[in-house]
Parts: sequence; structure tokens; C-alpha cells
Amino acid sequence: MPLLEVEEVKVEFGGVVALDDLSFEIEAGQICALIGPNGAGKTTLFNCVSRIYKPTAGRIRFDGHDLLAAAPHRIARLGITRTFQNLALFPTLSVIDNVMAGAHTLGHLGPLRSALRLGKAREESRLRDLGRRLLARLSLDHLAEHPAAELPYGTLKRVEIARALAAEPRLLMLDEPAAGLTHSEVDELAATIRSIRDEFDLTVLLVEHHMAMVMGISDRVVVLDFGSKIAQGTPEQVRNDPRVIEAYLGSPAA
Amino acid sequence: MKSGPGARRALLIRGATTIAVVGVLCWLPQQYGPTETTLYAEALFIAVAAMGLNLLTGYNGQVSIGHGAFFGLGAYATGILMLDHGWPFLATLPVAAVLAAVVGAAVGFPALRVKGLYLALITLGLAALFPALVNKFVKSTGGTSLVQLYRVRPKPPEWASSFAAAEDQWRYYVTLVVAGVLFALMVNLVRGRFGRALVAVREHEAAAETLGINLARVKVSAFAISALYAGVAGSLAALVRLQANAGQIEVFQQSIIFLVAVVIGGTATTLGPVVGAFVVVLLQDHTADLIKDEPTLSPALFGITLILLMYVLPDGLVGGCRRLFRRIRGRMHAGSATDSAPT
Ligand SMILES: Nc1ncnc2c1ncn2[C@@H]1O[C@H](COP(=O)(O)OP(=O)(O)O)[C@@H](O)[C@H]1O
Ligand SMILES: [Mg+2]
Repeated sequence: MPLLEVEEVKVEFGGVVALDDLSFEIEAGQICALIGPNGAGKTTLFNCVSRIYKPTAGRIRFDGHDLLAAAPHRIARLGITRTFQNLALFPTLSVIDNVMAGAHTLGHLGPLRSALRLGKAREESRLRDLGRRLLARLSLDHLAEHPAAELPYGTLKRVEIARALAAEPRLLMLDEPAAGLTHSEVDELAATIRSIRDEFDLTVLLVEHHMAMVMGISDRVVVLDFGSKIAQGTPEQVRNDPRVIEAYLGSPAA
Repeated sequence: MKSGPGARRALLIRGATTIAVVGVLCWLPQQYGPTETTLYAEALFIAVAAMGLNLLTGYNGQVSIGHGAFFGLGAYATGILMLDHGWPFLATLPVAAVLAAVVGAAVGFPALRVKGLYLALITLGLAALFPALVNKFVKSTGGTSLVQLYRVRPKPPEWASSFAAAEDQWRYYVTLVVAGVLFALMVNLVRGRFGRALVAVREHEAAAETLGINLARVKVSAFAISALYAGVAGSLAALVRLQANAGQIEVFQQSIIFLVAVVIGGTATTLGPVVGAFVVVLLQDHTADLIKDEPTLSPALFGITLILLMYVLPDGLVGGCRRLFRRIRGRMHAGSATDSAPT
């Protein structure tokens, strides 16, 4: 059974059809890339899975659960986290606190027990250890106590990945993680995505314009244009698909 | 939590500051007369309300200019229970707290749908509604809604006679203990999972939600806890002032004072509201003294001083001090931790 099933999802904004009967599936353990020109509807799909947008029609199932019936804050508990195309960190929190906020679903303490310190020290040290391990994994440990604001863009992109990993997801959705990175940073990111997939048993849904990276690390590629799927397959198949070439020549991305 | 010599030194500084502050607060009523002691007690209960408002507005980003209503609710709960039902003051405290928290949660739910200025307007409506409700339902002797507690005021107990023989001293110390406990609880509250959730919701709602944070629960909890603090503050105010009052102007003014204390002290800092409350109360008192024969000028002087303070320290007294401290420390070991990541 596929881990994520998107079935005939349709999203409209006023008159604009952002997603038009989109269907595709991701098998567990795969890195699946979702590509397409700007405005194709990639972020809109992420927002549907995150329950930020409500599709006008269609179904999204994750591991047998009907995602569209779940409350938005339940999605992380079901095992899906994400990064954002435009950074969505908590700027006044330190890097480690951002990651610990990402581990919200792994903690239990509400305001009352927190105020009375009932089990607080233990929970805090557990979440902090987890955060430190993730930061070390992404070579960010030296920045743990630094406020998230004021850090270089490439660094913040990695902090956001660490935060998304903190909830111990099964599906990680990355929205243009390579945008704004230098060449060497992109190579490093590609290696990181592959290795965290193996290390944390992840399934990855990747939106990215950086074609070398997409073709290098994806098991499967889904191509969108104007909200519709125009091709899918292995990187090799997609690269040679005439409709894909046309869509990209028609409106150059990346 | 953190380790290393820097952390140990920070802990030492924090410990020393705490002892010094507690020492000064305990010593104040020994040094000063009833007028000043009552003034400081006033600063303490305003600090409690400001702590609560800081949780909501500073940490969680929900602006309220209606906290005078929760404050009034606490004051009337205590006032009526003491006067009409003969309850001792301390027994009325939890009732005031729970009552305010429940009403706070009830206000928090509709507040989920609005933000920023609109939320401020709704809470302003609360401040306007409260005096009307009190005037309708509370009828004291003389037909006004003023509840006077002079007749049932608590007397200092025998065991406290060595340090609180006078009634004003006793009321001050009761206020100090309650404020101290609530301060400690607040510090624990904002440092931990719930505190991070509060800030996360303030700084990026959508991202917070994708991390599994239940926005509605966090926001309503923040409202309830914040109202609880204001309610307790009101209860303490009834003790210190020996009355509960709910004039239209007073409730509104009180709400603004809390907000000013939070902003002057430093939003989203634990110590800020306390510092802010003392600054506001003392400043108001001094500006009133300064121009005795022109009473209309003193609010203007108070306002101008506040504006100047905000101009010099836009992130409040505590925020400003913290920034200064960071800069000095940063200069001492420049560039050790803030370099960009290795690539
Ligand atoms: N909140 C929104 N309101 C109105 N239109 C939107 C909104 N979000 C996305 N769109 C529109 O939907 C289309 C797809 O956008 P998006 O999913 O961001 O594309 P991509 O991520 O592939 O670049 C665009 O035409 C965009 O303008
Ligand atoms: Mg996009």
C-alpha cells in the first residue's frame, strides 16, 4: 500500500484552479520529487496535505488515514512534517528552541504541570537531547543557543529541516530546500536528504527547481503544470518526456 | 539545562539577583511608612496582573486592553465573599482565580477568530461592559456598587507581630508572598513546552500548527491563565485598597496601566512586568507629587516620561538591559559562536 495517496484533488482560489484533479502516490521509503514551473501548484499541494488549505474536491490518505478529516494540528502526530518555501522559523527563539518546538508532539506537559515542575526537568532534558542530536546531525550544534533570526539563509534552511525532523515524522515534505543555497551547499543538501532518509526511515516529498539535485536523488518524479499532472516516472523517463520539455521551455523555471 | 562555565556564571548572577530583589522587597515596609508601603503593595499586585497580561500579549501575541475587567472580577469576588459571607481573605483568593480563569477562557474562544486590532477592540468592549454589569448586579449599602472592606479587614496575626505589626505591613507581605509564588509559577510556565508553543504561535501560526501545536488550545489556555493572574491581582487589590470599585474610567485605566507595565518592563521577559509595574506606579506617584497645584498636568508628564522611556528603550527596561549585556559579552569574546556555519 502506498504511504501517501493523493486522489483527484482539486483546489480553486476564486476563479484560479491551482490544482486540477491531481492524483499520485508515494511508496514508503521513496524520495519523490514534485516539479513544475512556478505557479504549477506544488506548494498548494503541500498546503493541502498540511491542512492549511482545504481542497474543493478529492481525497488525501496517509497510511490509511483520511487526512482531510483530521484537524490540522493532528497531521504532525500522524507522521507528516514539512519545511516552507519561505522560511517559517520562530525568529526570537534560539535554534535549539526552534527544534524543541518541533518536538512538541513528543512532549506531554501542559501549563499546569509545567508551572508546578511536575516532570518538567525530565521532559525538557529529553527534548533537549533530541534537539542536540538533530542539530549535530545537521552540523548546527555550535549554533544551538543562537537566536534563529540573524543567521545566514542557508543555515536557517537546515535549522528548518532539523525542526521538521524533531517530530520523528515518517513523511517529510521539503518545499524548495535548495533555493538560495550556494553550489556546494546544494550538493551537501542532496547528500543530507539521502542520508537522513536512510537514517530516519523517511519518505520524502521534495519540491525543487534545482534539476541536477532532483534527478540525482529522486526515486520518482511527478511533474505538474497549471495544476495538472503532465508526467510521472523515474528521473530518466521524465527527463525525456516531450511534454515536460515543452512545459519547461514554455516557462523557464529554476 | 545548559552546561559550561558561562551557564554556571549566569546561574550565579541569577541567584544573586533573586536574593537581592527578595531582600529589598522584604525590607521595604520596615523602612517606609504606611503610605509608601501601600504604594509598594499596589506595585506588587499590578505586577501580578502585568505578569498575566505578558503571558497573553508578550509571549502569545494576543493584545488585550480589557484585563481591567478580570481584575475587577477578582476584586469583587473577594470583596463580596469577605463582606457578605464573612470569608477570610485567603479563602477568597482561589475563588477569584478560578472565576477569572473561567471567564477568561470564555472570552478566549471568540478571540480565536480575531487578531490584532480587532482583538484589542473586543477586549476593550469587555472593559466597557464590566462596569455596567457590576452596576446592575452589585448593590452595596448606600446603593452604589462600591464594596468597602474596612469593616472586615484582616488583622495581622500574633506570630507576625515582629515584622508586620501594622495592618499595612501585613497586607503588603500577604501580597508579596502571593506575587512571589505566582512569579515562580510563571517562570516555570514560560520555560518549557507550553512556553515554546506560546511563542511559536505568536511568531508563525501556520508553522506552529504543522508541528502539532493546537492553536485553539494554546490561545484559550493563554487567555485563561492570563485572566487568572489578573483576577488574583484584583483580589489582592481589594485587600490592599480595602475596597472593590468598578467605575468605567477606572476599569479602562487599569487595563492600560497593565499594558504599559508590560511594555515598559519588556514584553516576553519574565522580570519585565514586575519592573514595569514598579516603574509605572512610582512614576505615576512622583509625577503627581511634582506639580501639586496643576493636577491636570501630571498625567501629561507621566505620558511624556513613558514616551521618552520607550524612545530610549524600545524593547523595555529588561529587554534593553539584556541587549546591553549581550553586546558587552559579545565584545568580550567576539565572533566565537556567531560565525556562519561551516560549509
Ligand atoms: N492563498 C492563495 N490565494 C490565492 N491564490 C493562490 C493562493 N495560493 C496559491 N495560489 C495560486 O495557486 C497557484 C499555484 O500556486 P503555488 O502552489 O504556490 O505554485 P508553486 O508552488 O508550484 O510555485 C498560483 O496561481 C497561485 O497564485
Ligand atoms: Mg511554491
